[in-house]
Amino acid sequence: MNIVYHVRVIKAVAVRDFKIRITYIPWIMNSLLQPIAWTLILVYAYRSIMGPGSREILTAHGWAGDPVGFLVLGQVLLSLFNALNWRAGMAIQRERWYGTLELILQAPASRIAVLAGSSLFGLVDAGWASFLSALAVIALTNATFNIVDPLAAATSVALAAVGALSMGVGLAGLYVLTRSAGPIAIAIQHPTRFFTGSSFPLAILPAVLQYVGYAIPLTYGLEAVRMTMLQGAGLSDVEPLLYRLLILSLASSMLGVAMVRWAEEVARRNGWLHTF
Amino acid sequence: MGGYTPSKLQVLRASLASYARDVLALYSAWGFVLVRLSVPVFMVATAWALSKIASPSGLVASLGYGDYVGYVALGFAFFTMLTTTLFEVGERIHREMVQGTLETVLLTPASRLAWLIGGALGSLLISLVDVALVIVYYVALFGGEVYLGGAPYALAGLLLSLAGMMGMGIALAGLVVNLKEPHAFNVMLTPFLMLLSGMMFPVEALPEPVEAVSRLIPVTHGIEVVRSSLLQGESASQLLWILGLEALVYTMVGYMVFRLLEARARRLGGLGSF
Repeated sequence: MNIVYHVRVIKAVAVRDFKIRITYIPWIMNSLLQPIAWTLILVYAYRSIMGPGSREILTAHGWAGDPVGFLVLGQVLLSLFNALNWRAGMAIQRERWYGTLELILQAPASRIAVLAGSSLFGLVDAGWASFLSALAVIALTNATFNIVDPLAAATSVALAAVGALSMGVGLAGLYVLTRSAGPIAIAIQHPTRFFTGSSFPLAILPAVLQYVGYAIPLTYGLEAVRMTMLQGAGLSDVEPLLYRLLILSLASSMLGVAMVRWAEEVARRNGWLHTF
Repeated sequence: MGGYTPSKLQVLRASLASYARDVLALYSAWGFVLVRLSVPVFMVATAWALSKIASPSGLVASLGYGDYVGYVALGFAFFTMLTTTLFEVGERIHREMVQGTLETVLLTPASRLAWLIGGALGSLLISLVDVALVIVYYVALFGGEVYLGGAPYALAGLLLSLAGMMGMGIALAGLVVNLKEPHAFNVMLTPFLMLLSGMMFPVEALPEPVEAVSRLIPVTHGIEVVRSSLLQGESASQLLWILGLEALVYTMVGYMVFRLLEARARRLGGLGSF
Protein backbone atom coordinates (compact mmCIF):
# COMPACT_ATOMS: atom_id res chain seq x y z
CA MET A 1 0.00 0.00 0.00
CA ASN A 2 1.36 3.40 -0.87
CA ILE A 3 1.43 6.49 1.28
CA VAL A 4 -1.57 8.05 -0.51
CA TYR A 5 -3.72 5.15 0.64
CA HIS A 6 -2.70 5.68 4.26
CA VAL A 7 -3.33 9.42 3.95
CA ARG A 8 -6.85 8.66 2.69
CA VAL A 9 -7.50 6.44 5.72
CA ILE A 10 -6.17 9.11 8.08
CA LYS A 11 -8.38 11.73 6.42
CA ALA A 12 -11.46 9.48 6.48
CA VAL A 13 -11.07 8.75 10.19
CA ALA A 14 -10.43 12.42 11.00
CA VAL A 15 -13.52 13.51 9.01
CA ARG A 16 -15.65 10.83 10.65
CA ASP A 17 -14.48 11.92 14.11
CA PHE A 18 -15.26 15.53 13.20
CA LYS A 19 -18.80 14.59 12.16
CA ILE A 20 -19.35 12.67 15.38
CA ARG A 21 -17.90 15.54 17.38
CA ILE A 22 -20.22 18.21 16.00
CA THR A 23 -23.21 15.99 16.77
CA TYR A 24 -22.66 16.49 20.49
CA ILE A 25 -22.70 20.26 21.07
CA PRO A 26 -22.67 20.01 24.91
CA TRP A 27 -19.30 18.25 24.73
CA ILE A 28 -17.87 21.03 22.54
CA MET A 29 -19.04 23.60 25.09
CA ASN A 30 -17.49 21.41 27.72
CA SER A 31 -14.09 21.46 26.00
CA LEU A 32 -14.19 25.25 25.99
CA LEU A 33 -15.52 25.88 29.47
CA GLN A 34 -13.70 23.26 31.54
CA PRO A 35 -10.19 24.73 31.13
CA ILE A 36 -11.55 28.20 31.94
CA ALA A 37 -13.10 26.98 35.18
CA TRP A 38 -10.04 24.98 36.20
CA THR A 39 -7.67 27.88 35.57
CA LEU A 40 -9.88 30.25 37.57
CA ILE A 41 -9.96 27.76 40.45
CA LEU A 42 -6.16 27.71 40.49
CA VAL A 43 -5.86 31.49 40.14
CA TYR A 44 -8.13 32.08 43.14
CA ALA A 45 -6.42 29.31 45.10
CA TYR A 46 -3.04 30.97 44.45
CA ARG A 47 -4.33 34.36 45.49
CA SER A 48 -5.87 32.89 48.65
CA ILE A 49 -2.85 30.96 49.83
CA MET A 50 -0.07 33.32 48.75
CA GLY A 51 -1.63 36.72 49.33
CA PRO A 52 -0.22 39.78 47.58
CA GLY A 53 3.33 38.40 47.33
CA SER A 54 2.60 35.57 44.92
CA ARG A 55 5.03 36.81 42.25
CA GLU A 56 7.92 36.90 44.72
CA ILE A 57 7.07 33.47 46.12
CA LEU A 58 7.01 31.96 42.63
CA THR A 59 10.27 33.69 41.76
CA ALA A 60 11.86 32.14 44.85
CA HIS A 61 10.95 28.74 43.40
CA GLY A 62 12.60 29.46 40.07
CA TRP A 63 9.72 30.95 38.09
CA ALA A 64 10.12 34.68 37.64
CA GLY A 65 7.01 35.87 35.85
CA ASP A 66 3.30 36.42 36.23
CA PRO A 67 1.78 33.65 38.42
CA VAL A 68 -1.49 33.85 36.48
CA GLY A 69 0.37 33.36 33.20
CA PHE A 70 2.17 30.43 34.83
CA LEU A 71 -1.17 28.81 35.68
CA VAL A 72 -2.83 29.63 32.35
CA LEU A 73 -0.04 27.94 30.39
CA GLY A 74 0.00 24.95 32.74
CA GLN A 75 -3.75 24.44 32.50
CA VAL A 76 -3.93 24.95 28.74
CA LEU A 77 -1.31 22.29 28.06
CA LEU A 78 -2.82 19.96 30.62
CA SER A 79 -6.23 20.40 28.98
CA LEU A 80 -4.64 19.63 25.65
CA PHE A 81 -3.24 16.40 27.07
CA ASN A 82 -6.58 15.52 28.69
CA ALA A 83 -8.37 16.01 25.39
CA LEU A 84 -5.80 13.92 23.52
CA ASN A 85 -5.95 11.29 26.24
CA TRP A 86 -9.61 10.86 25.33
CA ARG A 87 -9.10 11.28 21.60
CA ALA A 88 -5.83 9.53 20.61
CA GLY A 89 -5.74 7.30 23.68
CA MET A 90 -9.28 6.09 23.08
CA ALA A 91 -8.97 5.81 19.28
CA ILE A 92 -9.20 2.02 19.23
CA GLN A 93 -11.23 1.64 22.40
CA ARG A 94 -13.87 4.00 20.99
CA GLU A 95 -14.44 1.65 18.07
CA ARG A 96 -15.30 -1.01 20.62
CA TRP A 97 -17.77 1.35 22.29
CA TYR A 98 -19.34 2.23 18.93
CA GLY A 99 -19.53 -1.45 17.98
CA THR A 100 -17.36 -0.86 14.89
CA LEU A 101 -14.16 -2.54 16.07
CA GLU A 102 -14.66 -5.70 14.02
CA LEU A 103 -15.23 -3.59 10.89
CA ILE A 104 -12.01 -1.70 11.50
CA LEU A 105 -10.05 -4.89 12.09
CA GLN A 106 -11.41 -6.54 8.97
CA ALA A 107 -10.81 -3.52 6.76
CA PRO A 108 -7.57 -3.54 4.77
CA ALA A 109 -6.66 -0.18 6.36
CA SER A 110 -3.70 0.07 8.72
CA ARG A 111 -4.70 0.28 12.36
CA ILE A 112 -1.90 2.76 12.86
CA ALA A 113 -3.40 4.98 10.16
CA VAL A 114 -6.72 4.81 12.01
CA LEU A 115 -4.93 5.82 15.20
CA ALA A 116 -3.12 8.60 13.36
CA GLY A 117 -6.37 9.93 11.89
CA SER A 118 -8.07 10.01 15.25
CA SER A 119 -5.00 11.61 16.85
CA LEU A 120 -4.74 14.24 14.13
CA PHE A 121 -8.35 15.23 14.55
CA GLY A 122 -7.85 15.20 18.33
CA LEU A 123 -4.94 17.59 18.02
CA VAL A 124 -6.89 20.05 15.87
CA ASP A 125 -10.01 19.74 17.99
CA ALA A 126 -8.24 20.04 21.35
CA GLY A 127 -5.93 22.72 19.97
CA TRP A 128 -8.57 25.27 19.03
CA ALA A 129 -10.57 24.61 22.22
CA SER A 130 -7.46 25.07 24.39
CA PHE A 131 -6.46 28.20 22.48
CA LEU A 132 -9.88 29.84 22.83
CA SER A 133 -10.07 28.89 26.51
CA ALA A 134 -6.65 30.42 27.08
CA LEU A 135 -7.73 33.65 25.39
CA ALA A 136 -10.84 33.81 27.58
CA VAL A 137 -8.87 33.25 30.78
CA ILE A 138 -6.23 35.79 29.79
CA ALA A 139 -8.99 38.33 29.15
CA LEU A 140 -10.64 37.54 32.49
CA THR A 141 -7.50 37.61 34.61
CA ASN A 142 -5.22 40.11 32.84
CA ALA A 143 -2.42 37.55 32.70
CA THR A 144 0.83 38.97 31.36
CA PHE A 145 3.50 37.30 29.26
CA ASN A 146 7.05 38.14 28.31
CA ILE A 147 7.82 36.77 24.86
CA VAL A 148 11.16 37.87 23.46
CA ASP A 149 11.62 35.16 20.84
CA PRO A 150 8.26 34.35 19.17
CA LEU A 151 9.82 31.54 17.14
CA ALA A 152 11.08 29.86 20.32
CA ALA A 153 7.63 30.26 21.90
CA ALA A 154 5.84 28.86 18.84
CA THR A 155 8.28 25.95 18.58
CA SER A 156 7.88 25.16 22.27
CA VAL A 157 4.07 25.20 22.03
CA ALA A 158 4.13 23.01 18.90
CA LEU A 159 6.49 20.49 20.45
CA ALA A 160 4.59 20.49 23.75
CA ALA A 161 1.48 19.59 21.71
CA VAL A 162 3.47 16.79 20.05
CA GLY A 163 4.45 15.60 23.53
CA ALA A 164 0.82 15.56 24.66
CA LEU A 165 -0.16 13.74 21.47
CA SER A 166 2.57 11.13 21.94
CA MET A 167 1.30 10.44 25.44
CA GLY A 168 -2.20 9.88 24.06
CA VAL A 169 -0.85 7.49 21.43
CA GLY A 170 1.23 5.77 24.11
CA LEU A 171 -1.92 5.06 26.12
CA ALA A 172 -3.99 3.73 23.19
CA GLY A 173 -2.71 0.15 23.46
CA LEU A 174 -3.07 0.11 27.23
CA TYR A 175 -6.67 1.22 27.04
CA VAL A 176 -7.76 -1.30 24.47
CA LEU A 177 -6.39 -4.18 26.55
CA THR A 178 -8.32 -3.22 29.66
CA ARG A 179 -12.00 -3.57 30.38
CA SER A 180 -11.96 -0.25 32.22
CA ALA A 181 -10.60 2.21 29.69
CA GLY A 182 -12.91 5.05 30.74
CA PRO A 183 -12.06 5.03 34.46
CA ILE A 184 -8.34 4.58 33.73
CA ALA A 185 -8.43 7.56 31.38
CA ILE A 186 -9.99 9.59 34.20
CA ALA A 187 -7.52 8.26 36.76
CA ILE A 188 -4.49 9.11 34.64
CA GLN A 189 -5.37 12.80 34.43
CA HIS A 190 -4.73 13.44 38.11
CA PRO A 191 -1.17 12.09 38.41
CA THR A 192 -0.40 13.90 35.16
CA ARG A 193 -1.59 17.18 36.71
CA PHE A 194 0.54 16.51 39.78
CA PHE A 195 3.78 15.19 38.30
CA THR A 196 4.08 17.56 35.34
CA GLY A 197 3.93 20.62 37.60
CA SER A 198 1.06 22.14 35.67
CA SER A 199 -0.33 23.75 38.84
CA PHE A 200 2.87 24.52 40.79
CA PRO A 201 6.63 24.71 40.24
CA LEU A 202 7.99 21.18 40.07
CA ALA A 203 10.95 22.24 42.21
CA ILE A 204 8.60 22.21 45.22
CA LEU A 205 8.42 18.42 45.12
CA PRO A 206 11.02 16.11 46.68
CA ALA A 207 13.66 14.92 44.22
CA VAL A 208 12.24 11.42 43.90
CA LEU A 209 8.87 12.78 42.76
CA GLN A 210 10.57 15.20 40.37
CA TYR A 211 12.21 12.21 38.66
CA VAL A 212 8.75 10.82 37.94
CA GLY A 213 7.76 14.19 36.49
CA TYR A 214 10.78 14.31 34.22
CA ALA A 215 9.90 10.91 32.75
CA ILE A 216 6.77 12.50 31.25
CA PRO A 217 7.14 14.31 27.89
CA LEU A 218 4.61 17.00 28.81
CA THR A 219 6.77 18.18 31.73
CA TYR A 220 9.50 19.31 29.32
CA GLY A 221 6.93 20.92 27.02
CA LEU A 222 5.45 22.85 29.93
CA GLU A 223 8.83 24.10 31.09
CA ALA A 224 9.87 25.16 27.58
CA VAL A 225 6.58 26.98 26.97
CA ARG A 226 6.72 28.75 30.34
CA MET A 227 10.35 29.77 29.86
CA THR A 228 9.74 31.20 26.39
CA MET A 229 6.42 32.86 27.18
CA LEU A 230 6.96 34.07 30.74
CA GLN A 231 10.68 34.60 31.11
CA GLY A 232 11.63 35.72 27.61
CA ALA A 233 13.87 32.71 26.97
CA GLY A 234 15.20 32.05 23.47
CA LEU A 235 15.50 28.89 21.44
CA SER A 236 19.02 28.17 22.70
CA ASP A 237 17.78 28.34 26.31
CA VAL A 238 15.10 25.72 25.80
CA GLU A 239 16.94 23.57 23.26
CA PRO A 240 17.99 20.88 25.78
CA LEU A 241 14.40 20.66 27.04
CA LEU A 242 13.04 20.32 23.51
CA TYR A 243 15.50 17.55 22.63
CA ARG A 244 14.47 15.56 25.70
CA LEU A 245 10.85 16.23 24.87
CA LEU A 246 11.31 14.90 21.34
CA ILE A 247 13.15 11.77 22.49
CA LEU A 248 10.49 10.94 25.10
CA SER A 249 7.69 11.72 22.63
CA LEU A 250 9.21 9.36 20.07
CA ALA A 251 9.61 6.64 22.70
CA SER A 252 6.03 7.12 23.89
CA SER A 253 4.62 6.99 20.34
CA MET A 254 6.62 3.89 19.47
CA LEU A 255 5.48 2.21 22.65
CA GLY A 256 1.87 3.09 21.83
CA VAL A 257 2.08 1.73 18.29
CA ALA A 258 3.78 -1.46 19.53
CA MET A 259 1.11 -1.89 22.21
CA VAL A 260 -1.74 -1.41 19.76
CA ARG A 261 -0.24 -4.11 17.53
CA TRP A 262 0.32 -6.37 20.49
CA ALA A 263 -3.17 -5.74 21.82
CA GLU A 264 -4.62 -6.63 18.43
CA GLU A 265 -2.60 -9.81 18.23
CA VAL A 266 -3.47 -10.91 21.78
CA ALA A 267 -7.10 -9.99 21.32
CA ARG A 268 -7.38 -11.89 18.02
CA ARG A 269 -5.68 -14.94 19.53
CA ASN A 270 -7.91 -14.99 22.61
CA GLY A 271 -11.07 -13.60 21.03
CA TRP A 272 -11.22 -10.72 23.50
CA LEU A 273 -11.70 -7.59 21.48
CA HIS A 274 -15.41 -7.47 21.03
CA THR A 275 -16.25 -8.50 24.59
CA PHE A 276 -16.56 -6.03 27.45
CA MET B 1 -50.64 5.99 40.30
CA GLY B 2 -54.25 4.97 39.58
CA GLY B 3 -56.10 3.94 42.74
CA TYR B 4 -53.17 2.10 44.28
CA THR B 5 -51.13 3.65 47.10
CA PRO B 6 -47.98 1.76 48.09
CA SER B 7 -47.23 1.31 51.77
CA LYS B 8 -44.19 2.94 53.38
CA LEU B 9 -42.51 -0.45 53.55
CA GLN B 10 -43.02 -0.96 49.82
CA VAL B 11 -41.57 2.48 49.10
CA LEU B 12 -38.58 1.65 51.28
CA ARG B 13 -38.09 -1.67 49.50
CA ALA B 14 -38.24 0.08 46.11
CA SER B 15 -35.54 2.49 47.27
CA LEU B 16 -33.36 -0.31 48.63
CA ALA B 17 -33.67 -2.36 45.45
CA SER B 18 -32.70 0.65 43.35
CA TYR B 19 -29.75 1.31 45.65
CA ALA B 20 -28.42 -2.27 45.76
CA ARG B 21 -28.48 -2.59 41.98
CA ASP B 22 -26.35 0.52 41.50
CA VAL B 23 -23.76 -0.38 44.14
CA LEU B 24 -23.29 -3.84 42.66
CA ALA B 25 -22.96 -2.44 39.13
CA LEU B 26 -20.29 0.07 40.19
CA TYR B 27 -18.08 -2.24 42.24
CA SER B 28 -17.99 -4.88 39.52
CA ALA B 29 -15.58 -2.62 37.55
CA TRP B 30 -11.98 -2.54 38.79
CA GLY B 31 -11.35 0.71 36.95
CA PHE B 32 -13.98 2.34 39.13
CA VAL B 33 -12.13 1.16 42.24
CA LEU B 34 -8.85 2.50 40.81
CA VAL B 35 -10.37 5.94 40.26
CA ARG B 36 -11.88 5.92 43.71
CA LEU B 37 -8.53 5.12 45.31
CA SER B 38 -6.17 7.26 43.25
CA VAL B 39 -8.00 10.52 42.53
CA PRO B 40 -8.24 11.60 46.21
CA VAL B 41 -4.52 10.87 46.75
CA PHE B 42 -3.48 13.21 43.95
CA MET B 43 -6.01 15.85 44.89
CA VAL B 44 -4.68 15.98 48.46
CA ALA B 45 -1.10 15.72 47.17
CA THR B 46 -1.67 18.76 44.94
CA ALA B 47 -2.89 20.67 48.00
CA TRP B 48 0.21 19.52 49.87
CA ALA B 49 2.43 20.83 47.06
CA LEU B 50 0.54 24.14 47.00
CA SER B 51 0.85 24.40 50.79
CA LYS B 52 4.62 24.65 50.29
CA ILE B 53 4.12 28.02 48.64
CA ALA B 54 1.48 29.25 51.10
CA SER B 55 2.07 32.53 52.88
CA PRO B 56 0.86 33.62 56.35
CA SER B 57 -0.53 36.74 54.66
CA GLY B 58 -2.82 34.66 52.44
CA LEU B 59 -6.58 34.66 52.92
CA VAL B 60 -6.69 30.99 53.93
CA ALA B 61 -4.24 31.56 56.78
CA SER B 62 -5.92 34.80 57.84
CA LEU B 63 -9.24 32.92 58.23
CA GLY B 64 -7.53 30.68 60.77
CA TYR B 65 -6.79 27.71 58.55
CA GLY B 66 -3.11 27.11 59.11
CA ASP B 67 -3.12 23.79 57.28
CA TYR B 68 -4.03 24.15 53.59
CA VAL B 69 -3.83 20.38 53.04
CA GLY B 70 -6.63 19.82 55.55
CA TYR B 71 -8.54 22.74 54.07
CA VAL B 72 -8.56 21.14 50.61
CA ALA B 73 -8.85 17.54 51.82
CA LEU B 74 -12.10 18.22 53.68
CA GLY B 75 -13.32 20.54 50.94
CA PHE B 76 -12.68 17.93 48.27
CA ALA B 77 -14.14 15.04 50.26
CA PHE B 78 -17.41 16.76 51.03
CA PHE B 79 -17.65 18.53 47.69
CA THR B 80 -17.39 15.14 45.97
CA MET B 81 -20.01 13.66 48.21
CA LEU B 82 -22.49 16.48 47.78
CA THR B 83 -22.08 16.86 44.03
CA THR B 84 -22.25 13.09 43.52
CA THR B 85 -25.64 13.22 45.19
CA LEU B 86 -26.66 16.11 42.96
CA PHE B 87 -25.63 14.37 39.74
CA GLU B 88 -26.82 10.94 40.74
CA VAL B 89 -30.34 12.23 41.15
CA GLY B 90 -30.00 14.28 37.97
CA GLU B 91 -28.69 11.48 35.78
CA ARG B 92 -31.00 8.77 37.06
CA ILE B 93 -33.71 9.29 34.46
CA HIS B 94 -31.25 9.29 31.62
CA ARG B 95 -29.61 6.09 32.83
CA GLU B 96 -32.94 4.33 32.93
CA MET B 97 -33.59 5.57 29.39
CA VAL B 98 -30.24 4.21 28.17
CA GLN B 99 -30.87 0.89 29.90
CA GLY B 100 -34.34 0.73 28.36
CA THR B 101 -35.99 0.46 31.78
CA LEU B 102 -37.55 3.90 32.06
CA GLU B 103 -41.01 2.82 30.92
CA THR B 104 -40.91 -0.09 33.37
CA VAL B 105 -39.98 2.25 36.20
CA LEU B 106 -42.75 4.65 35.27
CA LEU B 107 -45.31 1.86 35.11
CA THR B 108 -44.48 0.38 38.52
CA PRO B 109 -46.63 1.59 41.40
CA ALA B 110 -43.54 2.74 43.34
CA SER B 111 -43.12 6.45 43.97
CA ARG B 112 -40.72 8.19 41.59
CA LEU B 113 -39.48 10.29 44.46
CA ALA B 114 -38.53 7.11 46.35
CA TRP B 115 -36.86 5.82 43.21
CA LEU B 116 -34.77 8.99 42.88
CA ILE B 117 -33.89 9.01 46.57
CA GLY B 118 -32.97 5.31 46.40
CA GLY B 119 -30.46 6.06 43.67
CA ALA B 120 -29.05 8.99 45.62
CA LEU B 121 -28.61 6.80 48.70
CA GLY B 122 -26.73 4.28 46.60
CA SER B 123 -24.16 6.84 45.54
CA LEU B 124 -24.15 8.28 49.05
CA LEU B 125 -22.74 5.10 50.55
CA ILE B 126 -19.97 5.04 47.95
CA SER B 127 -19.30 8.72 48.62
CA LEU B 128 -19.06 8.03 52.35
CA VAL B 129 -16.31 5.51 51.63
CA ASP B 130 -14.58 8.21 49.55
CA VAL B 131 -14.85 10.74 52.37
CA ALA B 132 -13.38 8.25 54.85
CA LEU B 133 -10.59 7.50 52.40
CA VAL B 134 -9.65 11.17 51.97
CA ILE B 135 -9.58 11.69 55.74
CA VAL B 136 -7.43 8.57 56.16
CA TYR B 137 -5.03 9.83 53.48
CA TYR B 138 -4.93 13.25 55.11
CA VAL B 139 -4.19 11.89 58.57
CA ALA B 140 -1.94 8.94 57.63
CA LEU B 141 0.04 10.34 54.69
CA PHE B 142 0.09 14.06 55.43
CA GLY B 143 0.04 14.06 59.26
CA GLY B 144 -3.21 16.01 59.47
CA GLU B 145 -5.45 16.39 62.51
CA VAL B 146 -9.22 16.68 62.77
CA TYR B 147 -11.29 17.75 65.81
CA LEU B 148 -13.55 14.78 66.37
CA GLY B 149 -15.49 16.85 68.89
CA GLY B 150 -16.77 18.89 65.95
CA ALA B 151 -18.14 15.78 64.22
CA PRO B 152 -21.81 16.26 65.32
CA TYR B 153 -21.87 19.77 63.79
CA ALA B 154 -20.14 18.50 60.68
CA LEU B 155 -22.71 15.71 60.41
CA ALA B 156 -25.59 18.15 60.85
CA GLY B 157 -24.11 20.42 58.16
CA LEU B 158 -23.60 17.48 55.88
CA LEU B 159 -27.16 16.18 56.27
CA LEU B 160 -28.67 19.60 55.63
CA SER B 161 -26.41 20.12 52.60
CA LEU B 162 -27.39 16.71 51.29
CA ALA B 163 -31.05 17.60 51.56
CA GLY B 164 -30.40 20.84 49.67
CA MET B 165 -28.33 19.12 46.99
CA MET B 166 -31.00 16.46 46.57
CA GLY B 167 -33.51 19.21 45.96
CA MET B 168 -31.21 20.74 43.36
CA GLY B 169 -30.66 17.27 41.90
CA ILE B 170 -34.37 16.67 41.53
CA ALA B 171 -34.70 19.98 39.69
CA LEU B 172 -31.81 18.85 37.50
CA ALA B 173 -33.55 15.54 36.87
CA GLY B 174 -36.55 17.46 35.62
CA LEU B 175 -34.31 19.45 33.31
CA VAL B 176 -32.65 16.29 32.03
CA VAL B 177 -36.01 14.89 30.94
CA ASN B 178 -35.94 17.58 28.27
CA LEU B 179 -32.21 18.05 27.65
CA LYS B 180 -31.23 14.39 27.12
CA GLU B 181 -27.51 15.13 27.66
CA PRO B 182 -27.08 14.94 31.41
CA HIS B 183 -23.54 13.63 31.59
CA ALA B 184 -22.02 16.34 29.40
CA PHE B 185 -24.00 18.90 31.38
CA ASN B 186 -22.76 17.50 34.70
CA VAL B 187 -19.14 17.23 33.58
CA MET B 188 -19.33 20.86 32.49
CA LEU B 189 -21.00 21.93 35.72
CA THR B 190 -18.51 20.20 38.05
CA PRO B 191 -15.54 22.61 37.80
CA PHE B 192 -17.89 25.60 38.02
CA LEU B 193 -19.36 24.16 41.21
CA MET B 194 -15.79 23.64 42.42
CA LEU B 195 -15.09 27.28 41.67
CA LEU B 196 -18.22 28.52 43.43
CA SER B 197 -18.17 26.14 46.39
CA GLY B 198 -14.79 27.25 47.71
CA MET B 199 -13.47 23.71 47.60
CA MET B 200 -9.89 24.96 47.14
CA PHE B 201 -10.12 28.51 48.43
CA PRO B 202 -12.43 30.69 50.57
CA VAL B 203 -15.32 32.11 48.55
CA GLU B 204 -14.42 35.53 50.01
CA ALA B 205 -11.65 35.57 47.39
CA LEU B 206 -14.22 35.69 44.57
CA PRO B 207 -15.55 38.98 43.20
CA GLU B 208 -18.56 40.11 45.27
CA PRO B 209 -21.39 39.25 42.82
CA VAL B 210 -19.88 35.82 42.22
CA GLU B 211 -19.48 35.28 45.95
CA ALA B 212 -23.16 36.11 46.41
CA VAL B 213 -24.09 33.45 43.84
CA SER B 214 -21.78 30.93 45.50
CA ARG B 215 -23.60 31.40 48.79
CA LEU B 216 -26.86 30.26 47.19
CA ILE B 217 -25.42 26.78 46.65
CA PRO B 218 -25.85 24.44 49.65
CA VAL B 219 -22.46 22.84 49.06
CA THR B 220 -20.69 26.16 49.84
CA HIS B 221 -22.17 26.50 53.33
CA GLY B 222 -21.94 22.74 53.86
CA ILE B 223 -18.18 22.74 53.25
CA GLU B 224 -17.78 25.80 55.50
CA VAL B 225 -19.59 24.06 58.35
CA VAL B 226 -17.57 20.86 57.93
CA ARG B 227 -14.28 22.75 57.82
CA SER B 228 -14.95 24.99 60.78
CA SER B 229 -16.20 22.01 62.83
CA LEU B 230 -13.48 19.51 61.98
CA LEU B 231 -10.48 21.82 61.53
CA GLN B 232 -11.27 24.60 64.03
CA GLY B 233 -13.64 22.87 66.47
CA GLU B 234 -16.33 25.54 66.03
CA SER B 235 -20.09 25.00 66.06
CA ALA B 236 -21.03 27.22 63.08
CA SER B 237 -24.64 27.30 64.30
CA GLN B 238 -25.59 30.33 62.20
CA LEU B 239 -24.50 28.56 59.03
CA LEU B 240 -26.55 25.53 60.05
CA TRP B 241 -29.70 27.67 60.13
CA ILE B 242 -28.93 29.02 56.66
CA LEU B 243 -28.30 25.51 55.41
CA GLY B 244 -31.59 24.32 56.86
CA LEU B 245 -33.45 27.09 55.06
CA GLU B 246 -31.66 26.35 51.79
CA ALA B 247 -32.45 22.64 52.14
CA LEU B 248 -36.13 23.39 52.59
CA VAL B 249 -36.33 25.81 49.68
CA TYR B 250 -34.37 23.61 47.27
CA THR B 251 -36.35 20.50 48.13
CA MET B 252 -39.63 22.28 47.51
CA VAL B 253 -38.46 23.96 44.33
CA GLY B 254 -36.84 20.75 43.07
CA TYR B 255 -39.98 18.73 43.62
CA MET B 256 -42.20 21.30 41.91
CA VAL B 257 -39.85 21.67 38.94
CA PHE B 258 -39.61 17.93 38.52
CA ARG B 259 -43.37 17.45 38.51
CA LEU B 260 -43.86 20.30 36.06
CA LEU B 261 -41.19 19.11 33.64
CA GLU B 262 -42.21 15.50 33.92
CA ALA B 263 -45.78 16.46 33.07
CA ARG B 264 -44.53 18.48 30.11
CA ALA B 265 -42.36 15.66 28.84
CA ARG B 266 -45.24 13.19 29.14
CA ARG B 267 -47.56 15.59 27.31
CA LEU B 268 -45.07 16.06 24.47
CA GLY B 269 -44.18 12.36 24.39
CA GLY B 270 -40.48 12.94 25.08
CA LEU B 271 -39.84 10.66 28.03
CA GLY B 272 -38.95 7.40 26.36
CA SER B 273 -37.00 8.71 23.40
CA PHE B 274 -33.43 9.94 22.97
